Amino acid sequence: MLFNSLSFLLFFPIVTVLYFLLPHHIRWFLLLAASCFFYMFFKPVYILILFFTIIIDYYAGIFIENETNLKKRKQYLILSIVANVGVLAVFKYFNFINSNIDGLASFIGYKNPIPYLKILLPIGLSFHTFQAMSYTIEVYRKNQKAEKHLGIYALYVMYYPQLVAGPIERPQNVLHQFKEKHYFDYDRTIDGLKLIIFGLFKKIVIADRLALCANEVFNNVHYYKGGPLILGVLFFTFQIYCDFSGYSDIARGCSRVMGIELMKNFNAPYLATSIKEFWGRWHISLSTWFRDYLYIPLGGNRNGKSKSYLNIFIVFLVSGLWHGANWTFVIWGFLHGFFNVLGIVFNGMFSHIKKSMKFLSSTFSFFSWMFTFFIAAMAWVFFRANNLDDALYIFKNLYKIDRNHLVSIPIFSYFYYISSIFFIATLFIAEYLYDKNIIKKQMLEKPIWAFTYFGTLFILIYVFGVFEKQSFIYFQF
Amino acid sequence: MKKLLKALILFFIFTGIIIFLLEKKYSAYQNTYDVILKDLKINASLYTDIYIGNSHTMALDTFTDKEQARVINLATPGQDLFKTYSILKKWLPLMKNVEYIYMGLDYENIGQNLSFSGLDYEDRQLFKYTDTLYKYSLENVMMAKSNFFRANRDINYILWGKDFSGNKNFIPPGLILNDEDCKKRALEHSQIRYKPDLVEENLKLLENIFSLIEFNQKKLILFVPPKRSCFIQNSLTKNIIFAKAKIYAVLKSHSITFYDFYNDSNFNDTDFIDYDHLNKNGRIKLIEKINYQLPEKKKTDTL
Repeated sequence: MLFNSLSFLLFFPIVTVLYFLLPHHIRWFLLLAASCFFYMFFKPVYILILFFTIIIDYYAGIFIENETNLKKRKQYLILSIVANVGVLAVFKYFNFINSNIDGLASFIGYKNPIPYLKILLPIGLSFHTFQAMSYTIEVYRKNQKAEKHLGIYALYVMYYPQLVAGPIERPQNVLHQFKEKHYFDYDRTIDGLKLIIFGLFKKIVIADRLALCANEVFNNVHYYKGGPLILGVLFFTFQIYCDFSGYSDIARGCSRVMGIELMKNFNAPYLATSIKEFWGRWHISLSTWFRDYLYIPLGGNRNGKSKSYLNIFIVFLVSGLWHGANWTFVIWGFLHGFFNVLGIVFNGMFSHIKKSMKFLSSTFSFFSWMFTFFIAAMAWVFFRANNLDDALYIFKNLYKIDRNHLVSIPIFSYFYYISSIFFIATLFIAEYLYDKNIIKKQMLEKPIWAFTYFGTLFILIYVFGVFEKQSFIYFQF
Repeated sequence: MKKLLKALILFFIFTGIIIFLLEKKYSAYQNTYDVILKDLKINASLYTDIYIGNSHTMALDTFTDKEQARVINLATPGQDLFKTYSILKKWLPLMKNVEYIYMGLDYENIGQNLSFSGLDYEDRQLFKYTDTLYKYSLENVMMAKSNFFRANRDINYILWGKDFSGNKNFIPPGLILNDEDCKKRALEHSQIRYKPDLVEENLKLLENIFSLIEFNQKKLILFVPPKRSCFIQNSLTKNIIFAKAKIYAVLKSHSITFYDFYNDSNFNDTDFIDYDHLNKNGRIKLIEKINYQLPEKKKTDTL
């Protein structure tokens, strides 16, 4: 079920009203049943994969907790990780690995006998397997007690607001919330609804509008050069942000209405002045997951600079692969790893310059921001391009400006471009003002402003929204 | 809870008023299909000939050189085979006096579906006349029934009160022809909007159109409209050849009157108003060439 669908518009209030009407002790069952229903809207049979990993991780958690022998504890943890990664490997990476074997075999003159799997990737697979893994790892680390209630544990993995595209939660944050009794709270509900409508605005008005042009350009790159390619890249840069952060806002909003707080996943990432800062603001639940469960176990920055740089590279390469089984994602990850390391290497020098020339501080920050935005946007080319050839074509032809036809995508009108750029600019300015604390959250709490907020966003969605249902980009990961 | 209910009721009243006002404002809005198809409901049984297809067929207007023929041109800009089929399916049984259907078919049509080119709104605009949608969902039907959405949410109409979409003149006034634009238009048709994976689906639709016409005992005249030389030169030959072969293969199993004017040397650049639409001379030439072989044809004038 998509958040931006009529079915969800009915599903959400029904589930929420029932949630508050039902006695506390059976609310978990309602949420679990609703989550199953939500997931089965996509491809019902794939729920069996979820059940499979839930059962394994549930028992792995209990066995790990009950076991005192460290070696055995580790074995249970490995079993759980192998089960989760195994599911990912089969459904997400098998054909990718096979196609590479194919290429290698044909290079040395052999025929690869391994057949390809004809299966669809279960929606949100990478999200819920990572969330499930964080549970067994935390139990192993003794930061979390094993959950004895199978239904509550299943709900931790399947909780519908964040089931298919995160935020990737930690057991310490949400498991206890499922057990707490939540009462209806007017202010909290309005707060949640504000997040939902803002998320819908970002998705339907901005992301899906920009997607029209971005899809056209990225799906037909060879027909374009110069202006249209620049627009396509720029539009995708904002599309993916509004699409994904819009989803996260809706997820957090739905959950907040019921009294369950999910972690913040985005914090104005395009205002970052370095790639390191960008990753502190973009998909926060994933970057902290990699920090806690991969970077630190690899040694983090404890074993010298070069080892720490290597660890950063490993994390970003894995992060690239997490996003998709394609070399384009690996290169995207590599670029982020490279610029992250570069930022750390030159950090001391930049700080020194910034301190010694205070009068240039804001100019320096501005150029840092510009550079960071440019790198992030360029890296998205690899993320979005259908293959490596397309990505390379874009880089070769991005700068070939045809002055007579700056914007020459035949399908779109000038109004489309003007309105799209207007919405991007508005969002950017609003985020800047909010980030700098010029707009304060409290301002929107007065009833008149709250009403204006809802009314304006409703009108914008109704008049400018793209209602040709487009699923969220991150569903595919 | 009461406080929330009050707030929600207030919000729904507000949104209701907004929607109501927009619906009322746009109730008189004439979109392209309203302009073209407005006579259909009233005079369906009066017509003898139908012209149908995309803007290349629309350029024929209602010109005929047959005596006592009453032509209705149901062609619309960017009409794909799904739309052609939908219109004929709904209206053909009601058009008792129709004898001939002149259907324009570009090779590129076989790889096009405008619902996939961000033009779903056209599908919804046509819903009033076809009762069907490419994506038949509750949301889509609701939008197709809304005046505001049928107008493709054209805010010019609120601001200036003009319904630009209803303008039947699809060729911009004062158009200056140049090779670069011609190339773009040719590529737009033969490459950008042409999706090979739509071919099979469109061929089925073509078969359905043939069966429908046969079932209603009408005569179909299928033709590929001519194009300006620069348009032909710049079209993606690979797609054109593929589409042509597919169409010819389907035609083999049907006895349909078929004319292929795509590369016809009888048409030259002076027969076109732009790169691919016929002008008055061109349309007369085309209709004459088509009708010349019809037994019922009675010429009224000499060209």
